[in-house]
Amino acid sequence: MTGSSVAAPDAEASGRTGLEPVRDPRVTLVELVDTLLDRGLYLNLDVIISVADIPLIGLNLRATLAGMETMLEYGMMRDWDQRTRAWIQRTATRDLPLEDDEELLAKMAGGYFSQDDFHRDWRPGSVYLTTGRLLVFRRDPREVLWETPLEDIRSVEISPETTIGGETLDRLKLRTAQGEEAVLSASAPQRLREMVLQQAPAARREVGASGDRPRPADVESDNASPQVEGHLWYQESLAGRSEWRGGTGRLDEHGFTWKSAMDTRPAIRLRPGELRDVRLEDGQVPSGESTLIRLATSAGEFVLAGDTSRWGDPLQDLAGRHDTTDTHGREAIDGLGDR
Amino acid sequence: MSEQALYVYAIAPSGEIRDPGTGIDGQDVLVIDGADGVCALAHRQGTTPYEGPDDDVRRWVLEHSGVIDRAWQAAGAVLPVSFNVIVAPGEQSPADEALQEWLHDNAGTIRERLTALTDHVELRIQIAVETDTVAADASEIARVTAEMASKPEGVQRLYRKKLETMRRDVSERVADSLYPEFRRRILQHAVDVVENRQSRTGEGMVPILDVAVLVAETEVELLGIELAEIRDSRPGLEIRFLGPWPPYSFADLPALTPGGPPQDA
Repeated sequence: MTGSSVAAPDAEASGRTGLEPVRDPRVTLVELVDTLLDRGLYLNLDVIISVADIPLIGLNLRATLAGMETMLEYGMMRDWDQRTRAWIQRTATRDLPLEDDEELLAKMAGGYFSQDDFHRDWRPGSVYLTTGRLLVFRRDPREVLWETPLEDIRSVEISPETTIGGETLDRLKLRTAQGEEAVLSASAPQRLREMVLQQAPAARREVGASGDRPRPADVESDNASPQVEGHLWYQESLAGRSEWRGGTGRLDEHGFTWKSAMDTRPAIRLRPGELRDVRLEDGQVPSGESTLIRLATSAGEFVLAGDTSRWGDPLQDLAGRHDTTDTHGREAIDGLGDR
Repeated sequence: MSEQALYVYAIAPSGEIRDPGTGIDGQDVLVIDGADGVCALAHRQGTTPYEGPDDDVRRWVLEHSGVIDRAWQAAGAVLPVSFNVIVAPGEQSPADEALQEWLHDNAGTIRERLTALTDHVELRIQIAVETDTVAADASEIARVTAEMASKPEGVQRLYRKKLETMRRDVSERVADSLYPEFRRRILQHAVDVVENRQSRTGEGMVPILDVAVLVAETEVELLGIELAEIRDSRPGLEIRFLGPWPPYSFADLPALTPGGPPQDA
C-alpha cells in the first residue's frame, strides 16, 4: 500500500524510468497540512468543526472550503444547498452586516478609487455584490469604502487604464442616478460587470448606450468572428471512465477555451487551425440537453454539450479558419514550439 | 464531564484495525464500531477544537494523518476525516451513540465508497515552469532588454518594472498553453481529480498545474513514467510528485443521511 514499489513490468521492458512519488513527511509537510486542513470527510451530524474561527455545524461539503472563494468570485452562491449558503453568508460577511432580506451573491478582491479635493488614491478591500447593493468593504480597519443601491446604478462600463508599470488593467466605471461617477477595481471586472447588469434593473436599460464598449483586445483584432461566451458541459475522460463537468466556454478571435470554476486554467484551449471538425450528435447529457457537440482536434476529440443554437455555427466557423492568429503577444509562445 | 465528545480521525471497515495506536497529543484512539461492517476511529475529549500557533497545528495535523495512515495500511481503505471534526453529545444521547447511529444510517454508502477506494492511492502533482527559461525564448523580452541598456538609470527602473510584468505575462501564457495537455495526460492514469487552488511555488516559478489525483496502485508506476516524459518534454519544467497517501481528497460521500434533527444554520 505504501512506498513506491518496483517498476511495473512494461516499464522495465521499455527501459523507461518514471518519477517516484515522495512520501517523506519532511518533504511533503506543507502539502500534507494543506490537504488535511482543506480536505477529508465532514460528518453531517452534530459535529463541531472550526474553520477560520467559525464553528461550522454539520456540513459535508468539501468544496465549501476549497472552492468557496472562487465560487464567490463567480457569483455561484446558488450552486450550494441552503444550509451551506447560510454558512457562507455568515463567514464571508462576518464583519459586514447585511440587511435581513439581503443575500450575498458574489465577492472578489478589489478597491475603490477615492477622489476628493485633497486626495486621489486607491483604497483596497473587497467588492461585494448582494441582492440589494454593490459595495466596497475593507475589513481592517473596518469600513464601507463605497456603496450604492443596485436600483440607483444607471450604467456599468469597463474602462481600461494603464498603470505606472505599463500594465493595462480593466476598471469598472459606474454612474448612479444621483449623477455620481465611481471607479472600482476588481479581480474579475468583466465578470463583475455582467453580474451587476443581471442584478441592477435600471442599468440594464442603458447597457446598449454605454456599457457595451468593446474590450481593448477586441479593438486591436479584426473582430472577424462573433464572440460567444456561456455555459457548456464537457465530458472529461479519466482512466476507465468519464465525467460531465459544467464550465464556461469562450470563443473569440484567438480560438476556443473551456474552463471550470473549480480549475485554475482552461482545460480546453484550441487555437484556429487546431479545431478540425465539429459534429452534432444525439446523446445523453446530465442537464437534459440531448445534443452532443463533438470537436475533432489535433489533440484528440472533445465532447461538449450546450446550447447548440449559440455554439454550433461559431464553432463551425472556427473549424473552417486557418491559423491566422496575429503575432501580437503570441511570438513568445510560438517561439517555444509547443504546437 | 469534560471528556464527553469524540474527535474523529477516520471511518474504516470493521474488524481490520486491531491497534489504532495514539493520536493527537498522545491520546488513545478507540474503535467505535457501528456493527454494520463499518467503524470510526476517535479519541475522547471535550468539545473544544484544537487551536493554537502554526507549529502546534502542524504537529497536530501530522499526528492526525498518522492515525489515518496506519489505519489505511491495516485496512486497505479508509475515509479520512478532516482535521478538527468533533462529535458533540446530544441533549439526550452521548456522543458514542450519535456516532454509532450515524454509522448505522450511512453504512451502505460508506461501504460502497470504501470498496471503490480499495487499492487506490492519492497522489499530488505540482508542475511549474521557470520564468527565466520561458522569458529567454521570448523575442519581445530580448528586444526590450536590449533597448534598456542604452537608457539612463531613472528610465531603466521603469524598464525593469515593465520587463517584470512581461516575464510574468509570458510565463502565464505558456502555463495556460501547457495546462490542457498535461491535465489530459495525467487524467489517463487517474480515476478522480481535485485541483488544489492555493498552489505554492518557489521563487521564479509559475505554477502550471497542481492537482490531487486518485490512482489505482497498479497505475502509479505508469503515471510516474508519464510525468518523467512531461518533465523532459521542454526545458524549465519542475515536477513535484507526492504520496502515496490515503484518499484525503476523495473521501466525500455522495448523499449522507443527516444525523439528528435537521437544523438551519
